[in-house]
Amino acid sequence: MFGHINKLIRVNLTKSRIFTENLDRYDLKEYIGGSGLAAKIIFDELDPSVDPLSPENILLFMTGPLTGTASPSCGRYCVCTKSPLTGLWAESHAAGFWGPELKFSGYDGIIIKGRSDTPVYLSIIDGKIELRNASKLWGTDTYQTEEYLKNELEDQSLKVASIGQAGENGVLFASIINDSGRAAGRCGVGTVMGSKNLKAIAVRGTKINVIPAAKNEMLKEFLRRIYVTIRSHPTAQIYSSYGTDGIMTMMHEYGDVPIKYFNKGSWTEGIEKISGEAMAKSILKKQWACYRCIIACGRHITGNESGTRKEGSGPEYETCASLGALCLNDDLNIIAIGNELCNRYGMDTISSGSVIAFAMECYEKRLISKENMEGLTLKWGDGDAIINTLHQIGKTKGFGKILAKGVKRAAKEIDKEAEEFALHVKGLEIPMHDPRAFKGLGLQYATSHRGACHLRGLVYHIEQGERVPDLGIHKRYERFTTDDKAFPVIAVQNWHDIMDSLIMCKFAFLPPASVLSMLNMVTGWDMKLDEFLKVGERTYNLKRVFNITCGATKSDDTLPKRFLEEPLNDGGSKGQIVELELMLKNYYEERGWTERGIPKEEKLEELDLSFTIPRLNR
Amino acid sequence: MNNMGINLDEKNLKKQIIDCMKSLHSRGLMTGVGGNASARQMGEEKAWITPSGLYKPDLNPSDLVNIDLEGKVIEGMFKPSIEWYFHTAIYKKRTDVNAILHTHSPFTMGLALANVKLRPITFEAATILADVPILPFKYPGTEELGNQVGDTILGKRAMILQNHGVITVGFDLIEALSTVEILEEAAIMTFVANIFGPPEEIPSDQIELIKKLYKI
Ligand SMILES: [Zn+2]
Repeated sequence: MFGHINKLIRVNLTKSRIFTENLDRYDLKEYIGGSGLAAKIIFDELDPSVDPLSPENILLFMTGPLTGTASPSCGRYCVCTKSPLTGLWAESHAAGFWGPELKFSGYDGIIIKGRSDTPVYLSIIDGKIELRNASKLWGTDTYQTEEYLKNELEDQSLKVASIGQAGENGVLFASIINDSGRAAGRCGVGTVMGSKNLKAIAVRGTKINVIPAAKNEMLKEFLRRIYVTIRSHPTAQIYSSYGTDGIMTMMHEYGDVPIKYFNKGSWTEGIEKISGEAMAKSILKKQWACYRCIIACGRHITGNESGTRKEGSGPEYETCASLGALCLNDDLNIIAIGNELCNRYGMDTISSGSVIAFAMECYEKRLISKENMEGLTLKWGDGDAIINTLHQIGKTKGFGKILAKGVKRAAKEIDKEAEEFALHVKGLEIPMHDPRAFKGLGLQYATSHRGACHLRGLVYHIEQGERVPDLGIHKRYERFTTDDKAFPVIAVQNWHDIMDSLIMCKFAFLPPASVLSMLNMVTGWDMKLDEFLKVGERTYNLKRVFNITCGATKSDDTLPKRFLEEPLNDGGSKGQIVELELMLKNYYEERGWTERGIPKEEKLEELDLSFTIPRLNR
Repeated sequence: MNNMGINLDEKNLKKQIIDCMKSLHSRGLMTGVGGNASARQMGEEKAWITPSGLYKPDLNPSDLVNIDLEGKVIEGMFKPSIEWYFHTAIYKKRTDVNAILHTHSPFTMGLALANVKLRPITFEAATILADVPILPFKYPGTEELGNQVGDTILGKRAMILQNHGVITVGFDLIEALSTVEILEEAAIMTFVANIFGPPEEIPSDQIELIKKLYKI
């Protein structure tokens, strides 16, 4: 078999049992790999009613057929489970080198069930899988864990994915960190890992350093000529030089960057200080590239003299916005320190910044008293408050104990009024793009299977005039229209579900036909484009059905009141609200779903998902 | 890391440099003594650069000089191009850049000498060239010029050195070469259009992402 290794690891932590099985027991042409195949496995094996933090939950680490091959920007892996934040489908992806290394070590993925009595870590080295004692590691942060394991296993090239204290302490938005700063950030996948007493997974394959393709020479020749296409996308140029934060000033112009917890539309003087250009002129040391990436959007930053900011992985756009603009903080140094803290504790920077900004608004509105906060003050823009609160969240101490539950649950504990402005979709905090600036994005947030998600679609590119002919996106979509948004949102959602199955980075903008050619050359398949695009629709619907079996209903496909009813007074999207109802109605229709948002039987049959129908009718 | 498919092997990489020089010369984008090129394999802290003083269309792969990013010669029988300062300055700043071309493209330079900046007149000019800065004159072959280029190269794939020439960069030589071609094509179009009046630009809403992203 080419592309896939054809070996899955199964670990039962309760019984300390490990065995392996072939991957080709699944129909790989129907699900490809990555999060698509993970959806099939989780649908088959997980009782949707289980408590996400119980031993019964499944935690899946998956790669795809392109992971670790010669294909560009395919250094990713995903973690799929039932989310403790949303109680629904969770998937979170990370780049770097861990995913390819898992395949070099001889496996496509790991299915983890149960809960260990004591802290353990998993080591997978050249085919050999072992569960080892991690008691000594419990309480250490993710960077320390990585370093410790490299020394213990005497291999500096070891790749480690681990949780920090946040995952151990049950912070509901805990992440999994690899390569000292790459994060599977969202949905609390690290919390699930912590609940299983699994501290880390260390992988190493010394025998190979690239997964061979079925048509190696053809692929080589194809790749050599396809780079120009990837690089000719304007964002590739900007990401190379300024990182993802290179879009900060542009997005601010649109009124897209959330300022003061989505209360302000314009903040030019602050934005200029936290932009990618500002970073390049100040704390940037060099670019950082993942496995076989030709863009290198990663930031490697310098340390400062006092030692409060250490040299290493720097913040991305989402983090610059969440710990910056969202909290009205214009200090790049604080953002960089906060970013490192989030990485070390192992918690999502989007949700972390969001709970802090939410708390700042609560504080301003006097919904939380000083004694409640144990001496913390949470004034807008207060850098020390941001850093202190991050520590408190990571340690689940003091007020951090409440914020560690995410905005939805924290609001419930704080005040009825706070629930009105706790910004989330299905329990997942809103990413750093304002749906009032791009209304299709509003529809995307409302319908994303993991809750408010900017990465299953990136539809704002389409609303900035991008065209993708292979997906039927031929015309210029305006950002404020609503009557024509169902089609492009569905098209990009399905497409990105395919990218997440391959698994390929979404910043490598290649036309779907080229991506398919690459997949065919790697696997030796002869898949046609319509068959390929169908995979995305299939996995999207499968995840939808899973969510419905978990209890999700139409009423969960919504946005916070702030976006539906409260326009901004300034900035590039001044006066706009998201008219969701109409978009949603069109969306259900276009998807072949009922008015209640349930996939119709004929749609499921068309997608070879008939096996889901009995569960839907239960 | 295994760079299979990302890089040409060393032999082919060197040949590609030579082919580029011949191609640029044959199309009048540089003279036999002006212009230079370098390329490296991704991730390497050294590059192959054209030698100084030799007639460029006559170069052989064995004439190329391998230098580290401080300009120290690792391998080669000739002196590296005197412009190694800006070549290495770019490699230090841009992990994603593996090829650099320097030409004296006549139409591009002609417009720059008259301080006419290129506008988004074609789709390629908009997406590939974006904003091409014209850097004030610095003496050729100096560290000062190297620093100036290094300080400007972020976010750019082409720049013009006033009273001197053009620099383009790319992930590989093909990308850098295409950029030289697009630049000269846009310059000729702009030159012709200017005979009759200022050139028409692409309507802004059609290239909104590009204009906003690049601030053009
Ligand atoms: Zn010159």
